[in-house]
Amino acid sequence: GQVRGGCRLVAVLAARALGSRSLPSPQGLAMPSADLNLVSKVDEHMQEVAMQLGYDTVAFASEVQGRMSAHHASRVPGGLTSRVGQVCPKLALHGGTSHVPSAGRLSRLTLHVDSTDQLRDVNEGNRVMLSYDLVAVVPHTEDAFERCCNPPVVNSIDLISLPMETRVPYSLNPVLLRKAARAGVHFEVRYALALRDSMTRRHLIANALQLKRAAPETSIVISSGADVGSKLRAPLDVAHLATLFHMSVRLARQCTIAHPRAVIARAAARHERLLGTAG
Amino acid sequence: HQWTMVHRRSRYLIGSVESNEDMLPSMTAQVLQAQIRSSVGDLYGDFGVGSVLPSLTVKFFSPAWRIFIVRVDREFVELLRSAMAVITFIAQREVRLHVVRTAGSARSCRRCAARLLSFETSKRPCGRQGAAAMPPPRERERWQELRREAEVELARMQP
Repeated sequence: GQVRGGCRLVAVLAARALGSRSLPSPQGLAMPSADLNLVSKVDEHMQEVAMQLGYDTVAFASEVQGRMSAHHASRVPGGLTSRVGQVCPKLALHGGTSHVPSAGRLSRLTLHVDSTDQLRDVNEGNRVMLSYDLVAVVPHTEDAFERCCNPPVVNSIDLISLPMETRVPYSLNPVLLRKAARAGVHFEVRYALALRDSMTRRHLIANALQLKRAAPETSIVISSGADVGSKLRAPLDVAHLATLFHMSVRLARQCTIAHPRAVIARAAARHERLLGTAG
Repeated sequence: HQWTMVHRRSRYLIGSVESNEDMLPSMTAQVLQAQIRSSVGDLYGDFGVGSVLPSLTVKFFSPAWRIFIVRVDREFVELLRSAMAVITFIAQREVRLHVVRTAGSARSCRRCAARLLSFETSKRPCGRQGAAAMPPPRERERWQELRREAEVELARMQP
């Protein structure tokens, strides 16, 4: 508490010294946020927009339907794999994110699965998955969802992103969700769906409310899922948007700051374990 | 009788309208207020609109600098901010409403808005030092005139 208060005081004094040319937004004074789902190829403009809004880390997602193959491997060098030694998992997991250096731009693999066969290749040693910094799975059926929440799949992925555009076609078992959360996996809510039409927004609110009731609060991550820069929102605006999901602003802020940091730290620890120290 | 004054506590949301276009001539304070009210209605229905209607006012809006000040009762700040976050279009233009600050009094609101205005104008070629490329004098004068107008309107803003 005292360290964070001191950091805030330093930030305020620095902002005043800079004068009117820099306007310290609430985002600037608070801890930096991360957006772990930009559905786009690496886009400098989109990254710049995100940075201006107050995000210090963004992840560009590549979507894959069904089974992975070798040509799905990432050709862009990951931001995390080159900084494996610098991320401190313990601090991130305990919420002390002020000491975790920002990773900047990350790569993410989003795997859409609707049968358990498509999860056969999902394991820790998969080279295609290791070429990405983060791995997320979108299970479209109950069997696939159950498989994602159990080993070995749960140990090799970072995020489970539920298909919230329509009503989720299966019930969210709190036991399974808690089990996956204990293994370190987080559950993702994409707020860009709320910016579409009214029906999508209703489904999103209903599904997010179910998720909030069933999953531990510390395992929820809010990201944009935006494919264009105009769909991005500043972190504090996201926190207020998340009140639609019956979350408090405080919890929603954690879902954009501390929880994504925990996801990144876990991914970094997994890369370090499997690929060794970056040299 | 002893009449007691009920102090209505308001909050002022200061922010900017972010868009790909330079100026937003068709957007006015009334258009912005109508869009915000519509967004509240979409999300919270009749209950939401009825709650914010007495207090929701756009106190200041500058189409040139894209800065707005919205006043609402304190208890409906979160409701309003969530409604403002989902706005994607105003007057057929794709925009994003970014709330920079929440102020509790008209005085602190004006102070913050003035700083935001000077921050926005420093990004424009108004003849300040450090401007990368100096525009023609006529354009500079136009931006300076727009800035003066915005400052005067801000100073006249009633609580």
